[in-house]
Amino acid sequence: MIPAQFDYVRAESADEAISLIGQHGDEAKFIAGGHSLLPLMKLRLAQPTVLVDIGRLSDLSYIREDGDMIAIGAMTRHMDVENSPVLKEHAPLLAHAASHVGDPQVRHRGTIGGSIAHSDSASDLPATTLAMGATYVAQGPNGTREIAAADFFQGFLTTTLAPDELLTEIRVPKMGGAGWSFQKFNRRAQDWAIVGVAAWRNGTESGVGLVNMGSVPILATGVSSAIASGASIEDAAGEAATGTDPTADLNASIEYREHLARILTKRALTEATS
Amino acid sequence: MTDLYELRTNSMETSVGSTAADNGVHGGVTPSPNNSLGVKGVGEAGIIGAAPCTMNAVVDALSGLDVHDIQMPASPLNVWNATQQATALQAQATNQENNA
Repeated sequence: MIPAQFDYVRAESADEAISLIGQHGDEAKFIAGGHSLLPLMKLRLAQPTVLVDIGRLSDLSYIREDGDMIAIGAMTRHMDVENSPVLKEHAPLLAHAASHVGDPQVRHRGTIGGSIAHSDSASDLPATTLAMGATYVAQGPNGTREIAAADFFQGFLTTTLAPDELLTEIRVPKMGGAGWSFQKFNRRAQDWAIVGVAAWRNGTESGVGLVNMGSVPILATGVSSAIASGASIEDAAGEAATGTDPTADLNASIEYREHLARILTKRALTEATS
Repeated sequence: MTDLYELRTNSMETSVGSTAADNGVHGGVTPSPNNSLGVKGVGEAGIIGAAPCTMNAVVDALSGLDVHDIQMPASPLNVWNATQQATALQAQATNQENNA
């Protein structure tokens, strides 16, 4: 429960954070709210030698409209995402999903950027933003680039972010009145989802993101294709486990997770359609 | 001398405890005058019945699916597994009937 020894530096700006991480090499890591990284360090599953603290970059904490998109600063806490009037109006699925992250203490410390950069497939926000067709903005020593959520998640806790790139902004399209639903199946409110489904639907268009159905958050493209071709909710939801790669643990077998994905997708589509 | 001091109940094999069957079961009702239900606290005796009672309720709820037993805990996974097994057994039985 005690992490290995590490050095700590605090950045006062995004530029400084990127410069610091460049100086300290591959074994340095950014730390934001620390609610994913610190537990891993205590279990010694992660042993960075230097932590670059971006916790005070308050200029990366914002939620604002930008044309058809909502731009969310990476340091925005889950609690601010959950309670944002802008998100409640234009991207209610994301605000609602944020209300399911951990417990109130976690939501006051954890950040949307930290959750997405950490890229745990069992977390709620990677799959939700993936379902929404989000774009992530990363800043590195050579400037910024935009990465589509669909291209971002590479494998277990692995993303396309370079070690010296900082996730600075999450951009989600306005939902334009689309129906939506967030279904999280767990045994205790503050737990990770055993399986979760984030879905939106606007007529034949839809997006369905699966939580904890593989080593990465998964976009259930088979479900959306079926919806697009006029399939019933029942038939479309039957495609939810196709192409997934869930693992077995104390809470669920592989078969049970596949079953949950289909059932929760059916519930989500039903709610998003009504 | 050794025999005298040898413990005769040194294993579960040689030790025979008394059971309810040796004593018979006797009834008696002495309601408490201190509350309207007449109930008395008896340590945590009440909690012992809670688990089997709950499990019986779960099995009863699933009896329509031909589930007759579920091992504790009645986690979602255990309940789902029980329904899956019962459904598979039913299908097997129907197959055998059809083939007979």
